[in-house]
Amino acid sequence: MKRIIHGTVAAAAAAALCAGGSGSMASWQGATTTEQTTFTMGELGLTTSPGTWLMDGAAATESSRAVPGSTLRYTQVFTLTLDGDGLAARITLDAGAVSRGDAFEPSGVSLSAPAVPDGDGWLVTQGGDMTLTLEFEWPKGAEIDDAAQGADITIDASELLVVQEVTP
Amino acid sequence: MNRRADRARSRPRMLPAVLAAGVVLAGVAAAQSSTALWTASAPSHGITVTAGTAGIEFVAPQPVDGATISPGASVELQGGSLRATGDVELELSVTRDATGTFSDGDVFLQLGFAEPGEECVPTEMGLWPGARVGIGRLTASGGGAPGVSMQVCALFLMAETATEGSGAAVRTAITITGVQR
Repeated sequence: MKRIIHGTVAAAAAAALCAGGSGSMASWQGATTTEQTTFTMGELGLTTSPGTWLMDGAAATESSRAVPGSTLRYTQVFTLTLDGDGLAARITLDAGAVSRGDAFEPSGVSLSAPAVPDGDGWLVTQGGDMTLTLEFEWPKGAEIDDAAQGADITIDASELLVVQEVTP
Repeated sequence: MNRRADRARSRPRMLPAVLAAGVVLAGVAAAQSSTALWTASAPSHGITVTAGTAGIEFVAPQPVDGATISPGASVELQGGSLRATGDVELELSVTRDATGTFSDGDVFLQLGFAEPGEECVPTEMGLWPGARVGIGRLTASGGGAPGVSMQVCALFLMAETATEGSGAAVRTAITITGVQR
């Protein structure tokens, strides 16, 4: 009797092994997809409108004659596009050179809101129209300097540079 | 039980290996990607201006009644003018000088300045010779336009008490200096 039981168990184990060797292992799976989303990139841009030069309060023309004591004032509207979530930028001015440094000297620079002065430049967190104002002054002093009489004095173009502000 | 214990012991050994692989992958990802930054720029416009000038046009007054003078007499000089030819208003001063055979106090040069159309009357202007005396302002012409003129007249006098200079020539010099106001 004992032998019969042992023989039956061994046969069942062998049958189970055979079944495992020749059958396949089942596995279930499921899949789903997320919805397709299109993101629109933001934009950082700067455009300009024509600027205006004034000399001593009047429009600077070819017949204008600068003398010691004269002032030049330049205004120009820049339109800043600052479109993006959390986008901020820093604006700096690359000032143009003056051909005769002993004549006109930079005496003032400003950029209106939404630009906010910060160190050597300005911070912006929103776009809009900003007015750049540059002022140059030819100081009048007691020292005689007739060398500049009749000379052409050139003030090169300046450039506003906007760089995205990277916060740590 | 022994196998479970073996597996449990092997997990801590595998973890650093997995973390290391993750770091390597992250490093590769960082090396291959770039950090984006946006910029924009726009120019202003420059300008070239011409510097002005400072200038005076001076026409010296000339003798009216001849150029011979004797003690106690005078010679009137008229027709002189001053005009600004530059772009700045000038503060004027005059220097008078004379050369010749005479003693101090023998000869005098009076100068007068007047607006166009007004009477020009020479007046004694103080020290003589060589003194610089302010005579007023001359309006700038501006942009090449004719400047405002000023009449200049003079009176050359010889004192009655003059004892020297008979037959000699006296040369007078009038220097007008204009400095930007």
